Amino acid sequence: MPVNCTNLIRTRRISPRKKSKDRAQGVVEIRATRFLQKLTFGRVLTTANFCLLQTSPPIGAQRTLFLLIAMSKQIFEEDDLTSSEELQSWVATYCQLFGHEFFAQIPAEYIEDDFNLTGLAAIVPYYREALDMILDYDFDSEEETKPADKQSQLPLIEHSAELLYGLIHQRFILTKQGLGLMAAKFESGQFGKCPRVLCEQMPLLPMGRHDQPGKETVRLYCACCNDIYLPSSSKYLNIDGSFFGTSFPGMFLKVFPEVARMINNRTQNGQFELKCFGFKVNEVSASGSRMRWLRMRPQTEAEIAEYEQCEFGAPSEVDGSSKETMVSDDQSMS
Amino acid sequence: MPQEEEYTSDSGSDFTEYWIDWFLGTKGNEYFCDIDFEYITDRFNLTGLSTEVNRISAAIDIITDNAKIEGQPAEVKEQLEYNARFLYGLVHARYIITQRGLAKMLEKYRNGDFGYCPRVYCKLQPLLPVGLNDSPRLQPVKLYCPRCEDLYNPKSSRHAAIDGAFFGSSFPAMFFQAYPHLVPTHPTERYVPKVFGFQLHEYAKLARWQAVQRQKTEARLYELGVPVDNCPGGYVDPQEGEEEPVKSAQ
Repeated sequence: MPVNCTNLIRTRRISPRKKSKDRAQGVVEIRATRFLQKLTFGRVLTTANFCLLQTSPPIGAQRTLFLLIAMSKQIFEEDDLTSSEELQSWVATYCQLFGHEFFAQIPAEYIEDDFNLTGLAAIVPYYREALDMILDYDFDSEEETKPADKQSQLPLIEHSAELLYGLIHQRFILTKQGLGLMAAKFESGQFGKCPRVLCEQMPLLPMGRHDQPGKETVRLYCACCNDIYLPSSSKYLNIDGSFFGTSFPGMFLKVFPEVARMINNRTQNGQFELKCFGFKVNEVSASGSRMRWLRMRPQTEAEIAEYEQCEFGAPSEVDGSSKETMVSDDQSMS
Repeated sequence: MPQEEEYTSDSGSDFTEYWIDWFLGTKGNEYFCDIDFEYITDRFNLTGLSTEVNRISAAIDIITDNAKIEGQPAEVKEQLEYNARFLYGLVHARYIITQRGLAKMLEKYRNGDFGYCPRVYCKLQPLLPVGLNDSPRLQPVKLYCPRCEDLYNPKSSRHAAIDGAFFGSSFPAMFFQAYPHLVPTHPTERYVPKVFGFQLHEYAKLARWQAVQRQKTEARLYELGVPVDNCPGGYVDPQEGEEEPVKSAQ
């Protein structure tokens, strides 16, 4: 389709009628051709309608003039549009989409480095095409033989590009540059604030519970209460958790020790306790406090001593089923 | 309630809706339940509220649709409306800890009208509204999750602006005293930050210590003969869940 339209404009330029027009119109034509080469399918159609109207012979002079004005206006407007779009890459557009506020913009150099993409070709279908799309390479020029085939595959390739971008994103945000970009988002609270009252609006970090795509959507980690939450808005429900990965919050805490200060200011708040007319509910009651341990931090000397005993495993005097699993965890770690 | 219907038809205005219905239907008032007319009109239930609300009898008349405020100047009307809403809130805090009020709140809890716990391991546990103070104009309403026993901020800013005193600080405790079989089980599962599959040491250490505290609680309750294994208020070890593949991946 784009090829046909370009031809139309070219033939118009050679026509004697066109030559009699002033130079400004010629400029319009050149812009039109240039812009048509990069057009998306929908826009080509609208412009093509105009071109066809113009080239068909039985049109009066006045009408031609009117159409020319309309066309030049449209082309000028769209030309402005495309020139601004030229600056915006696929990556920038993708990150600005509604609901994609969590994504950092990966620089092209990172994506171009094949080493960073190791193993992704096996996970992502249409890997080559998706990569070309992310990097804004013009893949029409390579295989002009089957443009119609490409057109039908476009939604599939777009989907693959999103998946590929997410998986590269998972790796990128663990690099120094990526962590820096994510830290800026963290500081401005773009990932949301902790819904827990005693965390006092602590900024959250996005994460996934699995590194493989298609398992679970994104979750948010609060470093203060050390827990994970569902995003407050449903617009994040279609973002895969693997696009952020399991390692991101841990890496973030290790790279930015300043976060620990934010946590320390907030852990002085103590814990919430359910009260009935000012009286604490006894532990023996079913509704008594049974989850205090979850937000507990060692405060007294005895507690701190006990905490130190937990250095490499649970202390031996406490019997429990979960003790063994913890010790085995440690062995696997060391 | 045929009595109220008479009242509205007597007033003769085209505004046939009850004030309470209008109030409950207003956006942002989804947390409130409707209070019985008898409860509001019983002066005993309003003991002490006259110090909090100006022109309390006028406010009661508005709530029970006994007074017309249409003819009043805008400012006065607004003030009267505000008083009525304020009084309704304070009576609401008292009403929801009565037997009938608890039953109404139970229905709202079952419908999830107060929202669901955002914590991942609570698996969409319905929440209950709670105030941090019983006196008004101090702190907005918070939401209590009976599964993780923690407090959360409401999602919507409209709900976050409601006075906490309109629900009172005793409501969740009272609710679970009345319906002890509804106390959910507590998952022992928790999150520890990991880098490339390895837990961060200080977080893992804290988690181990916290697990010790839990085991101590469990042992204490066991000695007192309180069941704690997979019963209301007990603990659940989610070993059969989705944690399995993660462990094998390590």
